[in-house]
Amino acid sequence: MIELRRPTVLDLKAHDRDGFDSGAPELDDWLRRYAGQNRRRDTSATWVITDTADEVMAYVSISMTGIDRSAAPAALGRQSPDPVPALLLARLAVDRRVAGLGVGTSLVAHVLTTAVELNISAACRAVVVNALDLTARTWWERLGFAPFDPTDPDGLDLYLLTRDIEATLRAIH
Amino acid sequence: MKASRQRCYKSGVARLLLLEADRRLTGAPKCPRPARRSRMAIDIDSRAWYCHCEYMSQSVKDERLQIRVNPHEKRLLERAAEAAHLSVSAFVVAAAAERAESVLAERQVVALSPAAAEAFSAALNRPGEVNARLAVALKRKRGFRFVD
Repeated sequence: MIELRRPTVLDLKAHDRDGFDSGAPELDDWLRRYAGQNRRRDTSATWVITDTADEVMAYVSISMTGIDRSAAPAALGRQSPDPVPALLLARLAVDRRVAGLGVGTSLVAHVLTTAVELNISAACRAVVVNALDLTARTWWERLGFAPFDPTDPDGLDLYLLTRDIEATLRAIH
Repeated sequence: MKASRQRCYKSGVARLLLLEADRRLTGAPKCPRPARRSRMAIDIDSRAWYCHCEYMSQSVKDERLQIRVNPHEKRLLERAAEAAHLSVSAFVVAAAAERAESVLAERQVVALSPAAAEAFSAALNRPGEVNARLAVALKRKRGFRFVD
């Protein structure tokens, strides 16, 4: 069975990104060229799962965002701040060598746990993701994410509420 | 049947050329090709041939987008497209799509439509509950193991 290291923050010196190949050139390129820049500018953090030789096998980039629901009827928004603080799961990619083994799901699980911890120490009401396309949307829906607009079959913005994540993690552990 | 297959082949080749040009432009590594099969057996629309790339997708490009530029911008785009061995159209689409993807991935505010805002607000107002799909996904057996 393939052995991998647990999710850790990308270390530009220790982690080898050169051979990363998810099949999506723009995502591979982002890891090589921009992940470090975004960390230095504090715009996003990149978490990776590597093999035992420290070669990146999967990565996810996350940042804080706000959900603007000012378009909602006023009566519905009284109990929460606007924008609602949330964690944005910006990019997720898995190397083709380990595709289908559950590596991406493990990385998402790590992000969801982070959101729960963040919600305790600060405030993070939801995890948000922008699916790349409708195929990707199906993948996210299988993980429990729901489209913001349930009436839009083509909507690619999805979310999971942090307290639902917390309830789920508590139930399965 | 033959004409249809030929159209399919031509369209596939065009997409491969666009992808290769895009790969050179971005400096991305080559995608491994699938194992060689007999010529007739090659599935030209197989995802493995194109990689997964939103703006080079397999969908038919029948939508139009018209933009106006000044002469300086036009010349600049033409020079850049030439340097990247792309048509101006392909260059503009690739560059704009890459930027659009980046903007969406790094939004500081996710603005909701009225319907989405209403649904999300209603969800926020209900108590937390176990998400069955998430529970199933997290309990699924992994095909690897963590060593640390």
